[in-house]
Amino acid sequence: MGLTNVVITIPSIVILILLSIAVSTRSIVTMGLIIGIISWPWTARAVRAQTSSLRTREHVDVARISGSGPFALIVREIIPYMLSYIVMAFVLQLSSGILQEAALSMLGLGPSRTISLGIMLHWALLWESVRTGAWWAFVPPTIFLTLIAFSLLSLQSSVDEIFNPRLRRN
Amino acid sequence: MQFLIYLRNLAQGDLGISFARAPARVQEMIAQALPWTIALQLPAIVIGWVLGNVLGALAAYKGGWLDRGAFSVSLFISSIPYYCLAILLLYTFAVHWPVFPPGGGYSYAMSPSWNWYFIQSALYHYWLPFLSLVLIFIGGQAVGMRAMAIYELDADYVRYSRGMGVSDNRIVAYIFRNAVLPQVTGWRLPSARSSVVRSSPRLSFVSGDRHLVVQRYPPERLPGCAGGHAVDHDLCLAGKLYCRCRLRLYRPENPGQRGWRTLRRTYGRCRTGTTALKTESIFWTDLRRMLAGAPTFNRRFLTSLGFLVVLVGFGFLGPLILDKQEPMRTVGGLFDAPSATNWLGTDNFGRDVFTQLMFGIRTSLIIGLIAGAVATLIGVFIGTAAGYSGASSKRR
Repeated sequence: MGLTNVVITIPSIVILILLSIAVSTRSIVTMGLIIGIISWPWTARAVRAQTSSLRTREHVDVARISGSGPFALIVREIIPYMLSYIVMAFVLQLSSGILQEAALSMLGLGPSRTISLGIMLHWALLWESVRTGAWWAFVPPTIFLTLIAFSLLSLQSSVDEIFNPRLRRN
Repeated sequence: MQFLIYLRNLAQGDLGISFARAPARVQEMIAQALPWTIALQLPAIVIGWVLGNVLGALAAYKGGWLDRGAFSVSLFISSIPYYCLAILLLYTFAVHWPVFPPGGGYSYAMSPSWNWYFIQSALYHYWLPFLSLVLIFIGGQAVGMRAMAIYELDADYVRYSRGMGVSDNRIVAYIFRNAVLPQVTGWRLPSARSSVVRSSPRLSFVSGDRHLVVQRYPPERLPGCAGGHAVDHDLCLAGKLYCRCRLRLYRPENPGQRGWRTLRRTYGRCRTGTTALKTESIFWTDLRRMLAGAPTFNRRFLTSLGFLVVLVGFGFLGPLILDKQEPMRTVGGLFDAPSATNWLGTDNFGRDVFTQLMFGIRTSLIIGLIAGAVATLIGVFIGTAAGYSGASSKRR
């Protein structure tokens, strides 16, 4: 877990910038991989906290006593119990991945030879569309980025309410 | 290798020489910019924090339309990416209606000093970044505070006060005090957040050390960039460390993990029956319960799901249905205004913005999916392994 703590303290955008320079042609898949590899620690920490509380449950003990190995134990006894949490973490990672891609692309470090919302913003800002009042160049991508992020976040919070009765209001 | 040398120098407190302003040393530049950053960000953060938390506690306690409205609005605001918010604010209030200046920390005709005119000018230039920071902060804090305060509603002291006829404001104050702890620990300078906006020098927001960091294209400024980030990050860490110490003071039983809050939020509920042997996973029970339907959740869940489906459809099926399949084709001039053929005008290369938008959404979604999947897979793998084998036996 020491590694995770170290990775967490590294400001991710710096690594993203460094990596994006190091990799000369960036396909869409490479971008996704880079961002994913940078942003796993938060999930790891939360999952670790869950796991260490779940592993003290009785059903895990029972399974251990009946002789299942650690891998089977994790897959069959621990992960199903935090699946809802993992789904939520995935949705959050998805939205933050989209936003990180947009931020990178805005700096001109996005995937090459393709179009993404961030790249549209990049060109719009570079050609001073904000100052010249060409709103159609930068308002649509910003709005759609916001919409994507908002719908993902609200999906996450509604799922949170479903799985967590204490958050539910009547 | 170069990076190692850089690390060694960093350990000795030497951040190197800026590429952009060659003779200047990075630490001097940072030292110049640091007080500026703190002075500018702090008031916005304090105000945003207070407003956001009060709003969150109020929404949680009052419930009803206030809760729904405040929650959706703050969720929406907090989901606007900071650079998008900044661009929109900038366009609306500095270009479209030129109420505020578009950039700089103070008027170009002045130099920093302690006279009234300078302060006035600095304040005037401060409004826009101040607004964007406060807005973002209110949103984020309100969402977090609401979640924490809802947990407090069941507490004995709330019921007791209610039964005793204590006024609502007072109860909200009690709840606030009890729920505020995790909000305090989350308190730090919003670090890399406001950075990218300043990528265009002409339209820059007030400078912080960020101003040294990414101006147009970061690679040629890497020493400054990394240095600025390092200092910024140290600030965050110092803040966090301080908060964590305080947290330890308040809650000796606290495991000292950031996961604590998420943990409590998600798994804090008491799951009756899980201690007994269960063959069926809770997930499926929950899923079934969810499909059976609690009305409040269903609405919001379905709305956001509907939104997503529309967005995905727009990105993946839109080009086929509307027969706009060539995002890279030049169809007009520089920034042509919206017209019947180009529904959202053209961009700087004369390409159709509407077509680009559909393909852009597609690319963004694909990248997000890959990133999310990779991060979740690695995170779950390492997290379970560490949690299963690690220090937890000590803790229990």
